[in-house]
Amino acid sequence: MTSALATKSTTFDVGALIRDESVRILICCGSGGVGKTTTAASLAISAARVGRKVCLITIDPAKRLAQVLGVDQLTNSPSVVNLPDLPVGGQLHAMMLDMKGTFDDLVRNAVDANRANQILANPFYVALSTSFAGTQEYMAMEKLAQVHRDERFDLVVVDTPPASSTLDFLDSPKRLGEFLNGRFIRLLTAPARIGGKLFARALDAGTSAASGLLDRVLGADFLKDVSSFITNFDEVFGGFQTRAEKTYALLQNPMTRFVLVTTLTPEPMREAQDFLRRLRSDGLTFAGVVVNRVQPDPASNLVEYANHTLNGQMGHALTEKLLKWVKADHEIADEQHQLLEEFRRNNMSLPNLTIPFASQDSLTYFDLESQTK
Amino acid sequence: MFSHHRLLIVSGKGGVGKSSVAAAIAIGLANQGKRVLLAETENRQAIAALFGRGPLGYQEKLLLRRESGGEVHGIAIDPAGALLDYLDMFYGLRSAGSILERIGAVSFISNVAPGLRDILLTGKACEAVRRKSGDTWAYDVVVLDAPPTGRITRFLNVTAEVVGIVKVGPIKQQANWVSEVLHSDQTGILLVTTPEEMPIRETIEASNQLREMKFRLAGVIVNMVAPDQLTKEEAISLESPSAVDLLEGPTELVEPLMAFAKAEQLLRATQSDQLRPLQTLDTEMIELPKLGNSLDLLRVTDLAKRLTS
Repeated sequence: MTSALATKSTTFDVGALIRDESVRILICCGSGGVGKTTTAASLAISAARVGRKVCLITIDPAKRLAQVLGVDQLTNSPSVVNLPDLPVGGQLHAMMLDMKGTFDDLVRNAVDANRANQILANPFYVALSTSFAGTQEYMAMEKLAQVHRDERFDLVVVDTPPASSTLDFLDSPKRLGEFLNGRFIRLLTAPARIGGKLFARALDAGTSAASGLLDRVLGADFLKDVSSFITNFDEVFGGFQTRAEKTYALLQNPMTRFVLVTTLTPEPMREAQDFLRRLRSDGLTFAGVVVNRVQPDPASNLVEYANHTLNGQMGHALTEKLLKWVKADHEIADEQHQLLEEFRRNNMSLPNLTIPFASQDSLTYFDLESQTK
Repeated sequence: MFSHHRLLIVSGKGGVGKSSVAAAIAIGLANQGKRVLLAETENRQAIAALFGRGPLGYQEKLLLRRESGGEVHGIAIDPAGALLDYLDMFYGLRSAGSILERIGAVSFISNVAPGLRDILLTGKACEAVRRKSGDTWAYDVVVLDAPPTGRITRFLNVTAEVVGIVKVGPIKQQANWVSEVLHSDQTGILLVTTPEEMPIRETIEASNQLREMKFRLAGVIVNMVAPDQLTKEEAISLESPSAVDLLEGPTELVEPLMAFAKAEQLLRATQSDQLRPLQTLDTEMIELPKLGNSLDLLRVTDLAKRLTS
């Protein structure tokens, strides 16, 4: 697709990025279904091939990719991936994020066994650790910080959760913090801290009416569960907030680079644009854009012939069918080309790299790899 | 098309065009004269973007009307709106909402209390399904643009999610009622996929889980299928040594056209291979062609016609 490079823009030099030893963390972000996991894996493999000691944190790898990585053995802690022909020093570990396992470990490490068991058994904790919107993102970040401290690795490559938008990933620690530090939760747990009676008197009529209502709607057990959970969780949580801040600082450090993955369709591109804005405002360091699944444009003389002949009557069925395909592919390529041009105009000097559409996801891995040679 | 359903829940992996297909179903049903509510739950404003409207909110809005009387209405269900609605409907307590809002309880319950969020969203959709307007249903069909396949089982499994947190009381009863509606034979789940490995794998996994949980799968919609296939004879003839003679056109174009044909045929063959595992699901399967690079209202309307024909 040489024609797509009409607007002046820099090519995303993946080879230079993965060779740069000051780069210690690569985070692949992008809307759902654009190929983040594949891109993360191909970056990790390519980096190991140039001699880096890499750990890939993946969320939900596709089957073929999983086979390459030996996913059957992948657990919540890094295990070695046997890649052929690695240079001296080059090494690849991979792990698959276990959201609840990571959360449980955090709790166990923060408090004594007795307290930990109380927390882990609380139904509210169970729900929080499995289904709170943002837990997966937060745990991905937590894992990232842990693996980054591990001296076996000099590069961590992270895939971000599939269902979340790009900004969710950045906002999740804050959201979890806000949730646990929210005024309502503080109200619920305050009695345990300052003594129930005193607190009850301090409540204004409106608030106590509100908690009365909540008791009616949710059942008294619910508020009791929340209250006991928060009281128990407080020790862990104190550490949590600090942790979340530290992790965010790690993301802001220039040793962390963000790789944005997108396809040339409107919604992922809108999200990409939002994400870029956020990167700039938060002082996060951007590495480049991987534009995935680009429709190759059929040869221009074929397109011309198709446009020309299909207007008139065509006697030959097979040729006509094929020329229709040529035309359809060209139309898609053309629409994509316009979206890409617009994106480049809005983001002058942003390094980007287009990856041609392949019918099987995992093929893009080889494409990206070949770029780094 | 899905004529006996009153609630259609549409899910699919991110990037497969789930929202566009949900809209196409709604339009298709409206073309048949039905009054349809198209509901989204993830505040992505996909419906508004598609219909070229300002952002949708909790107020249901008419988006499209056909001469036959068919209509598509839209709503973006948000948990806070659903909670206030719920309090109002069952307790006549809309005014209490402001107090709850002030102390942060609304945002707590509707956004972060795990499990409750989903039941508020599904609860609103179920309310619309069972809502009466005089002697008839307010809507013939509700099409719910639900969360992606990765979260769909948890989203629909309201009773199990809630039971651990709320053991008694009205929310528990509400969960039971919602669960009953979701499991009824008038409710069907549609999974959208593309002919690619990951979405298909997720579709199969989600179908199996949903069926284990006694939900009814209404069908699988394969979106963005390369349109048009070569016939067997055409495919075989392209492989023959004299294939170039089969094509018509200037000599210098025949070779590139051959190469193009082979690449496209490979793509189609790969897609058919990828789709094969879906047959094990034993459910209705509808293929929709890839119409250009992205779906605008015109193309979605085209898909709607294909769905109903």
